[in-house]
Formats: sequence, structure tokens, C-alpha cells
Amino acid sequence: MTESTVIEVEHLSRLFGKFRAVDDISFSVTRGEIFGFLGANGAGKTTTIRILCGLLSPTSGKGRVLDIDIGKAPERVKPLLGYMSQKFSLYPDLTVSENLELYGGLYGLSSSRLAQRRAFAVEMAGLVGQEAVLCATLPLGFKQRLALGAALLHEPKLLFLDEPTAGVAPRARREFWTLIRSLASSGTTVFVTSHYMDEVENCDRIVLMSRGRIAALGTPTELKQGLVGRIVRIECGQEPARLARRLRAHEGVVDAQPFGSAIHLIVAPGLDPINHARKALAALEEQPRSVEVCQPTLEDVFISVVSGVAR
Amino acid sequence: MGAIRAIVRKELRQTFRDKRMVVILFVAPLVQTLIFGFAVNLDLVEQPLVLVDEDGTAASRAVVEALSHDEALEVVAVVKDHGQAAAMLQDNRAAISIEIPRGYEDKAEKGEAQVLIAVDGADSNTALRTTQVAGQILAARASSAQRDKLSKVLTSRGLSADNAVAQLDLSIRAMFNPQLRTAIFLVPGVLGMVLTVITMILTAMGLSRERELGTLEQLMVTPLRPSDLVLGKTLPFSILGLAEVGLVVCLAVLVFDVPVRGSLWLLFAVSAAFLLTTLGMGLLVATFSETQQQAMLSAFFVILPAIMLSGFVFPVEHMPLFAKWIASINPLTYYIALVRGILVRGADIEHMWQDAAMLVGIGLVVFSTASLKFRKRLA
Ligand SMILES: Nc1ncnc2c1ncn2[C@@H]1O[C@H](COP(=O)(O)OP(=O)(O)OP(=O)(O)O)[C@@H](O)[C@H]1O
Ligand SMILES: [Mg+2]
Repeated sequence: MTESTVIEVEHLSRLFGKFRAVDDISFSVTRGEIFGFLGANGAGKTTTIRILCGLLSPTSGKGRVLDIDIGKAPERVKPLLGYMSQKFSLYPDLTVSENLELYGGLYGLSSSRLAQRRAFAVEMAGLVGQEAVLCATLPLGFKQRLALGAALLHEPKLLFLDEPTAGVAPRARREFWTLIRSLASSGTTVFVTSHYMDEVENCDRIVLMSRGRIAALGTPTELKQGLVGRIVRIECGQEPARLARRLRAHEGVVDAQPFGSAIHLIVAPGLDPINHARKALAALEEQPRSVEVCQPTLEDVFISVVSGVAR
Repeated sequence: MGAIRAIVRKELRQTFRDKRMVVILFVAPLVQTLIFGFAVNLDLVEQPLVLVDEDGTAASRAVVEALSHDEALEVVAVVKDHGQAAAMLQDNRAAISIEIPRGYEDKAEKGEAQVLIAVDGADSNTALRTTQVAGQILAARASSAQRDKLSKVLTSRGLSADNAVAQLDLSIRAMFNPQLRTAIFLVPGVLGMVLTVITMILTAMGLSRERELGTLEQLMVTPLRPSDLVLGKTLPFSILGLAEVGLVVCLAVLVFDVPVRGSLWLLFAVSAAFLLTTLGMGLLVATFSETQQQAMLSAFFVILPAIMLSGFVFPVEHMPLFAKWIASINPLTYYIALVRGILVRGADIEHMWQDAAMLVGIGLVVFSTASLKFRKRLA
């Protein structure tokens, strides 16, 4: 573990009965990084976070968080980190400032520091003047920012955010990510999970998780590298799902997925993508509106990785 | 310490902010006390009585006279034969019939008098008590008939009968609650019931609600120790529970003239011990429930038998063995016995230390098991 390593995980597993929710994962996170965990429902993202926060003990493997062995001393890690759980976790029947007061008390803040940090959190959440409003009545975007503020009251060096923007409107999501980036640039390490492929582009590095395992790990650019020049976008108008299914059966087509009214087709490496796509379409007697090579998105990466065909 | 204070403050804020909660906490106990004091009246009044006097002598008329003077009974008819009385019982015009057979007077003088009592057993509790009342009056009459005879014999020999026959007079008197009033009997039970319902359900529901909301997870990721969470969660309800005790006792004293003969300190101490068990049960229920609904149902599954098998209404001595066994590990049994002792008899701890020891013992076992299980579940 080097000095700038904040999280180091080796062969970590967690079983529920016989079910492997987290299955032999290893990675490390360095200081100031925005580290993204991307995965479908049930991939094991929350379970990983809960282990790293000391809420859940690992079945096997090792994990060190801020130089503390979480298998041995989960209690010692708790005061050092901030955690925003997947569910909205402030009390709906307490006001903005009562919620902050509660968490400040739980982290043992002195009353002068609490006053100062409370002002910071209220301001960050954009709720100045609304300190006496019940949390239940706040719009979701504000709730999430307030929850972030609450998680930051004790100025943790490491922050876990579990799907912080789920269900939040696009504009509020962008604002939230601006906050995350500014936190990271001031030295806080951020470990964040998400369903949204587009916002994960904001991460310095990403883990793609599938069924408890790490399917891929790297910067967004690295992850997309293997697919550059291999994605063909076919604008086909109707029934993209059906056409995609038929295309998939064609030789040289690694995968085909519907993307709105279009299809993203991944061709095998070494083939000319446009030619190959046209051949496949001709064989199916389909005449699409347009066929063109496009830049891979993280979604393409995710799909190709999860269907087990990447690189 | 600061963490416990933060949790306690939060709990109190949430509790008093919720209007339903305030109603449950402060109105419900009052209503329950009033209902049990007024509506659920176990005092016997004017049970309709039909008399069959086949004897028609001075002695039998004295019996009729005595029966018609008791508040618990109301003589609705004096008939000549057995069939009429049976018919009246049948169609609910009478709850009890008493037949004084021919030759009653002669036999009474010999101390062999027989009287036939038939009672409507549909409500077994009332039937039993009606029979008891009638039986006492009859026994008293029979012995006084015998005494009359005896004194006749004695005076004929020139002796005074007064002292000699005093011991024959059968007299049953309820100590401490001479009128056998229901309110005095029920108030301790109401106290136990209110405390159980409020502290157990609120603890269980409060924790399951936090589990559902996800706030429990958020609490657990703070440096808050699980034992502090247990304390912070149960302390406010203990305080509220003790306030309820005060409330119910005040009401019982003001409205129902329930006496407070023993020490109030002892009453609160005993109540605090009882709270250990109800809060512990609340924790246990929360440990094994995923949702508030489950918690609510499980709590009622515990509370109902606890109330039924506690001597609240039905005396433990009359229960079947299995029920007796449950009652003997039911903290409510001991709590009710202790409260009755303190309020009604003015008993001191020396006279009830066994009950008190059982209550504290059960409380410690339940609470420590529960907080252990709960902490394990959190970890
Ligand atoms: N306490 C538990 N007991 C049993 N199974 C569990 C438990 N917690 C999680 N699981 C299972 O482990 C798997 C991984 O769950 P996890 O919550 O980590 O997924 P996730 O990636 O966070 O999914 P989501 O995007 O839905 O939040 C799921 O199949 C879940 O059902
Ligand atoms: Mg999750």
C-alpha cells in the first residue's frame, strides 16, 4: 500500500448463504480519485460499499480502507468516512437543520464546529433560508444534496456515494456531479456507484461489475479503446430489437443492441465495419436509412463486456 | 454520551411532531382507563332472580327477604313451582333461580337445609359470582336459622345464647376492597396493558421504520455504538412510559377513587423494572421483523396472550396448568400483582420481594438477550 492508496481490496468475497454477491474482487483507489462502480441491478455494488464502510464483514479476502483492516476493525474506519446510502437516509419528519444537528451529534462535532459545518452543508445543498423546512417536503434533487452535505459534516477524506443521482432530474444530476468533481479536486476521494452510463464518464476510473465480479477496470478512455472503430450505428426505423436479434446470428457480428430507434453493432476485430454491416443487412434483406461508424460509448463497453465478448 | 443525547433528542422530536403518536401516547391511556373503569363493569348488579318457595314457612320467607335485600340480586318473581322458574331462565327473564324445597325450615334447624340453585352459565364469570353471592346469603340464613333453634334450646335451659352462637355466623368479607369494586381490581391491569402496548409497539415500530427508511443503515455507518443506539432508542420511551404511569394513576384516583395506599416511589421503580421487559420485547420484535407491518403483527401476537394470561381479568389460580405455566413467566403477571399490592394493600417491598425479584429477573434476561440479538443483527 503506497502512501496515496486510500482503498486496497484483494480477493474480496461476500456470500449470502451460497450466493456470491461479491465474488473475488481486487482493486485499489488512490487519493483524490473519483472511482466509479458501474453495474446492473444486483451486481454487488452496494454489497461492496457496505463491506468497505464496515457495515458488513467480508466472507473472505482482504480490504484496507485508510490503512485500516476492515475485516478486523470495522469500527475504526467509520469515523473517517462519509457514506450516502442508496436509499434517501435523512429523516423526513425532521427539518433540514435538525437532521444536520443529529448527524453532527453522532460524529461528535463540537457545537461551534457543528454550527460552521451546518452552514456549509445548508449552503452546499442550496437550502439557505429553508433550515426549518421538513425534509419530506424537499424535491428529490435537494434531498440528495442535503444528504451529501450531511455525509460531509465531519469532513471525511473518503466518501462513498451509492447511486446518489438515481431518479434525479438531468439538470440536478449535472449539478450534483459538479459538486462531486469539486470535492475530488480538493482532495476528497470519492467512490461512487451508478446506473447512468453517461455520468460515469466523469469518473477517473471505472469498474464494470457483473454478477459479483469485476468484468473490466480502467479509465473511460481505456475501456472504450478496444471498441474504437468497431461500432456501427444502423438507423433502421422500426423494430430495432427484432433486427438486432437477427443480426446477432450473423457471422462476424459480435453483438447487436437496440439504441432507441437505432442499432449499435459490434463487429469482430479486423473486419471492415461498414462493409461487414452492409453485408449482414443485405443477407437479411433489410434496407436501413443509414449505416455509419460511431464512437463507442460506455454503454457499448458495458454491454460487450457483460455479454462476455470484449476484446 | 453526546451520541446518545443526539438520538434521544431526535426520538423525542419525531414523537411529538407526529399527531397520531401524541394521541397514542396521551389520549389512548386515558380512554382505556375510562373504558375499563366505567364500561367494563364486573361489579354484579341486579342479577334477575326467580324464587321458588315450596316451603312457605317463616324460615323460607326470611331467606326470600334476605335475598331481596342484596344489591347484586333483584327478585323478579316468586313462583310456586319449578317449571315456571325453569321457563324464566330459559327465555332470559331470570339469570338465576333458587328453589327452597318443602321441609326447609325443619332441616335448617338441624343444619341439614338444602336449597337448589340454577344459574344461567352462558357468562361463566358472572354465573360463578352470582352463585357465590347467593350462596353466602343462603349460608348466612341457614346458620341463623340454626342459631334460632339453638338459642331456643339454650334459653329453655336458662342459658344465654349470644356468645355460644357467634361462631356459627358465616361471614365472608373481602379485605381491602370491601365492595369488590372493579376499578380497583382493573387499574393495575390497565397500567400494565398501556405500558406494554406503548413501549413495546413504539420501540418495535420505530426501529422497523428506520430499517424500512434506510436510516438505520445511515446510523450504523456513523461511529454510534450499537449499545448507544439501543439506549438512545429505549430511553425516551422509558421516560414516556413512566409519565403514562403517573397519568393513569392520577386519573384512577380522581375518577374512580382508587386508593394509593403504598409508596409511589415503589410503584415507579416496579414500573421501570417492567419496562425492561416490554422494551426488550420491542427490540426482539424489531430484530426479527423486516417491515413495520410485520413488527406490528408480531407485537400483537405477543401482547394478546400476555394480557390474557396475566391475571388482568381472569385469576391465574383458575387457569389450566399450561396457562398457569405461561402466566408464571409472564412479566405482566408479576407487574399486575405488584401494582395491586402497592395501590390496594399498601404492601411494601418486603411483602412482595418474590414477585419483584421475578419481574427484575425476567426484565434483565429479556432486555439483555434482546439487545444482544439486536446488536448482532446490526453487525
Ligand atoms: N443481506 C442480504 N441477504 C441476502 N442477499 C443479499 C443481501 N444483500 C444483498 N443481497 C443480494 O446480493 C446481490 C447483490 O446486491 P447489491 O445490493 O450489492 O447489488 P447492487 O449492485 O447494489 O444492485 P442495485 O443496483 O439494485 O442497487 C443481490 O442479488 C441481492 O439480492
Ligand atoms: Mg445497490
